[in-house]
Amino acid sequence: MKKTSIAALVLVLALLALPAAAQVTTEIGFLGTWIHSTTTTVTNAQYDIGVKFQDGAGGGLFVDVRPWKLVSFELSGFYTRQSAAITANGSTLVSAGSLEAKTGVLEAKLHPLGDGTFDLYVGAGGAYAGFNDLTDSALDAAGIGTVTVKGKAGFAGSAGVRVKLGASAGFVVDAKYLALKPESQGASGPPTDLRWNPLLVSAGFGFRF
Amino acid sequence: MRRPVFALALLAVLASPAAADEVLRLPGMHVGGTIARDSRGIPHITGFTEWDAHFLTGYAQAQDRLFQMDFYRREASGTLAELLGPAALSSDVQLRAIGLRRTASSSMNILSNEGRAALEAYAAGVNAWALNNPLPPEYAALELTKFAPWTALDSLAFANLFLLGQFFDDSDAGRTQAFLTYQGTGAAAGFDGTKLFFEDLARFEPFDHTTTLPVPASGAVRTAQIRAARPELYARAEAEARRLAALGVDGLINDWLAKVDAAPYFKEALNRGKDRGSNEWGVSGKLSATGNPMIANDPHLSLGWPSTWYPMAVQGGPINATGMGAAGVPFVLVGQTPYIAWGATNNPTDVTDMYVEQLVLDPTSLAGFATTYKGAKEPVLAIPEVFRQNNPGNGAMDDITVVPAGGAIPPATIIVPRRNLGPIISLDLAHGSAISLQYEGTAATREVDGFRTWNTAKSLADFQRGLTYLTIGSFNWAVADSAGNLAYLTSGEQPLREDLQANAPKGLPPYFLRDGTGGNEWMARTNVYPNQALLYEILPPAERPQAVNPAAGFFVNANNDPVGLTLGNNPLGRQRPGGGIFYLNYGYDGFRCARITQVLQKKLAGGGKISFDDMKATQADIVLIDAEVFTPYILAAWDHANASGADPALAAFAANQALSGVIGYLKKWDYSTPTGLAAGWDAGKPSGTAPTQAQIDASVAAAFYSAWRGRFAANVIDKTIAPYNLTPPGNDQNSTLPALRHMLDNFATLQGVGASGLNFFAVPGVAAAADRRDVVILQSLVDAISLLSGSTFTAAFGGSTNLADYRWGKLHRITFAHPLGGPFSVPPAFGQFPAPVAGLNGIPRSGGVGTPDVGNHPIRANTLDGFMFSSGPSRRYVADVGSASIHAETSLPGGVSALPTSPHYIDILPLWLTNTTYPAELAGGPTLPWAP
Repeated sequence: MKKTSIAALVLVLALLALPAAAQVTTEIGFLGTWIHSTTTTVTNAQYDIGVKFQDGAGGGLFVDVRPWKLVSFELSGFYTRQSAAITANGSTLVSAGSLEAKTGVLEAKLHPLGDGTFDLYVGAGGAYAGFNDLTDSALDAAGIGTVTVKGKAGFAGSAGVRVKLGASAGFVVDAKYLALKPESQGASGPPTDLRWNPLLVSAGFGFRF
Repeated sequence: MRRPVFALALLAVLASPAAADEVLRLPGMHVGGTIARDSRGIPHITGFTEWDAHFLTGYAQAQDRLFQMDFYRREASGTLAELLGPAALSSDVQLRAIGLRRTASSSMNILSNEGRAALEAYAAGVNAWALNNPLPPEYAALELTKFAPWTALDSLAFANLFLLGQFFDDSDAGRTQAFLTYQGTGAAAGFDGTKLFFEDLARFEPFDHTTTLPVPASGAVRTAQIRAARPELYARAEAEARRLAALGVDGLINDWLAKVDAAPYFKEALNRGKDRGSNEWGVSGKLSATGNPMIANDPHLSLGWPSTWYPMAVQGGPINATGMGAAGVPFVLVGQTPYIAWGATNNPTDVTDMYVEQLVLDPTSLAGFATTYKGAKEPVLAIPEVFRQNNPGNGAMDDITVVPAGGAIPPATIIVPRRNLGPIISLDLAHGSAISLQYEGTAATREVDGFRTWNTAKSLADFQRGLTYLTIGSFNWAVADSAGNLAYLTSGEQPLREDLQANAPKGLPPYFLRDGTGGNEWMARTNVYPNQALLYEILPPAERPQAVNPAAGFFVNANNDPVGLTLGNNPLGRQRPGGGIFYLNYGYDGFRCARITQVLQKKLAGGGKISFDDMKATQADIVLIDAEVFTPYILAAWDHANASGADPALAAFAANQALSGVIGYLKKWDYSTPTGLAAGWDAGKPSGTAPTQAQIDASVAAAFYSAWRGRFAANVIDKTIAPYNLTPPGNDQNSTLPALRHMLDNFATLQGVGASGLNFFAVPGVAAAADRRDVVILQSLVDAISLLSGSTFTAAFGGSTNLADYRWGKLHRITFAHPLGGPFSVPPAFGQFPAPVAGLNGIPRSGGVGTPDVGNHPIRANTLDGFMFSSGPSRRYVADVGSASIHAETSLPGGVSALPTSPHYIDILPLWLTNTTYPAELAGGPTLPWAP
């Protein structure tokens, strides 16, 4: 975790230094986001019991700095909300309230087609997510109580396209995959490492200046 | 009653265990849970909440034992005839009068929320199974298609029935009748009938004086004083006997005893004539081979079919326990948590008093009369009753009809509020008298809260907290915890009687009928101890027999006198520390504790340690402790007969070849009781394997000795009192053998003549008392040989002249009886367990009267099936309690499932029959993420 944080800091500093170093384009935008968890945290394989986060929604902001035609750096932040549940055989056993995540992502992006009308890109970098506590009367009834989920850094990858709408405006469709293992704990039970590997599919508009 | 026979095809649909890996989420559950069956079919139940754990316990028990549950709840509720038909009606009347279900209703009101919720969850689970699956085969036999939904009250009623079977004791009536008869007959015939009862025959002194805890020196002093004070007791008893006789009490007693005799299921519920005993012992870490405290426990209950206990492991919420539950309640009653192991024996405690009430007319009462107390009228309550019965055999399904009141069917139960809301059980309006019953179990209690507490226990202290919820009767507890503690504890709320507390017993002692008009009352409550339910003053819990980490490093309890209160042949023989008579019970078992203590002391001699296997081997011990006492008398008599100059009557025995042969067996006997049969079941020897020669020899000795014991009792006691039309006070080991031992051990003083003045060894023509004694001893053995070689036992021995053919296993047999009998019982278990010996009922099994691996039979057995036994170790359990884990092994006399088509119907019975154990394991099921 410490190495990841240092790497992210270096990236941020580099990003801020770029405008002075070259002719850069900076874009700021906003996104509406649909979040889909791609994995379930299995805590008992024999009975297929685990923690599952349902599809949810949210929104985000991004700033993309592009010092070169083929490469840019993006800093984005998302707020997402998903229903959480303890499941067995894929069905909900205990509703676990909502997982609200505040996620920051810093990525380097490669634009193989250059800065055209259809600007495709792929990216990779790091992410850090902070979470609210999971609360639900069902958790209380199950003797679990409030579940705390600790913030965690992890891997981020993305792919997307920017469609130029004018001189500065563009329509952005972005998909990000995050891989994090935040630690969670109920009121008195043992800690559980969650597998939070969401896919954030977003669409929005960006404006260059 | 009709014994139904079933087509097995009907049963084929009934076994459908849940898939092992399935998370069950049934309507009525809060979250879900799992039931995993181990290889023996024992359910490992995991609820994701405590509610779900209890729900699934009900679900699993209903799946395996639904008819048994229905049977017991109806028996408890006095509605058994609605299931079985008219044969159960008489039992319903008596059990309705005692009112276990009435009591259950009041108990529900004082249960904790958690306890109540547990019962409700359990009921929901039972119904989830019962209402959605085919009924067990017994229902078709009884022409029933419906199962009345289970309720939380049913569980409480069942628990009350279980406790009734352990602690309800109506022997006061029969004892009073016997005493009145002895006393009156003696007065007319010129002997001391009072002493015949108290000193000669109905002795309260146990057969052996081994106690669980050391007898305090002050207790011994007091015992001596009480011995000296007995004439005063006898004078009071005689005066009271005359008063009771004038009241026509004999008729009341006869009425009650006749009602009990006519009520087979009631008798069964009372365990009448069965061993209510158990074994337990504990060994501290200092004396154990592993350095951990160990306990052993085998509760002796009726060995019916299906078995009394329901083995299970359950976890959910704070609950995490494994061991034996009972089909009808959601908790492990004896077993272990991850931190503590416990076992129990019955601690015989007098918590039932029967009162002779005097009645006066009371037109304001529905009953038409009232009782009197200290000259004042006291109202009784009349609770209307409606009895119903099923009518199986007429072809009409669900044909349940109302039985009109009249004759033996009363229109109402009459309650005497003063008697802890107990009933009038015998009524004589002509004499204006009645017998009422005062029993702890007729008012609200909270045992269920105690059960739940144990199932969450993490320490000895937690377990002790659970004990505070127990009211009815008393259990001895063997407990060991992961902190290294070993404890002997007793539970229950023992009522204090006003006259005993005042050191001035009035009338007859509390183990006889008492005077309902005043002076013999349970004291009004002035001190209230934590979680006390009984509304009367009780013995302070600190005064109950108990020891945490006993100094001796071990303890043994097998229903014996724990602290030696009866050793002076007077149950009122000691005082409480703060004054008042320290009375717990009138009598105790004096056999198994002695033998187990003997075995442990031998192991520990010279600094030895006791291993886990030693504990199991001690549970399998089959040595007759009474044979150790009496056989030397037989051998001495034989030597006496063979001595030169013996009295001719005695010397005549020396020429008896058969007698000589039997003496040969007795001389080399180690007092053990193996079956001696290839078809027999012994510890470590399944049926079908040949016995050793030593086992054969011991089995022959056991057969002749056991027959001798009965003939000796008949020749010494029965023949002496028969001319006076008297019968012995009992036919079990505790009512017979102490008297015989007393006569022989004190023969030099008594010369065969009892305190009554009767000569119990009268042999015409023989002058010397010692000669007469030995004539009776040897004649009893001749009688035993004649008996076994006679026509009565042809099916067993064929009148063989070869003594080696007389194997104990052909006498000592067991049938695990099902309430419907026939193919449901074991054997034959629908052909799955046929009787091993052609022509003989039951299964030959080792053990005998008072052996640790017990198999008691009537002492005077003289019929082919008379040596059979029907109660014994209902579970065996040994636990080594380490700081990190508990190693425990157990066994059960039966299968988990009562369904004949189940693979777990009878699969573990052979283990029990050979004293083989299997690991006791916690549920170990899945837990929810984040769950504690």
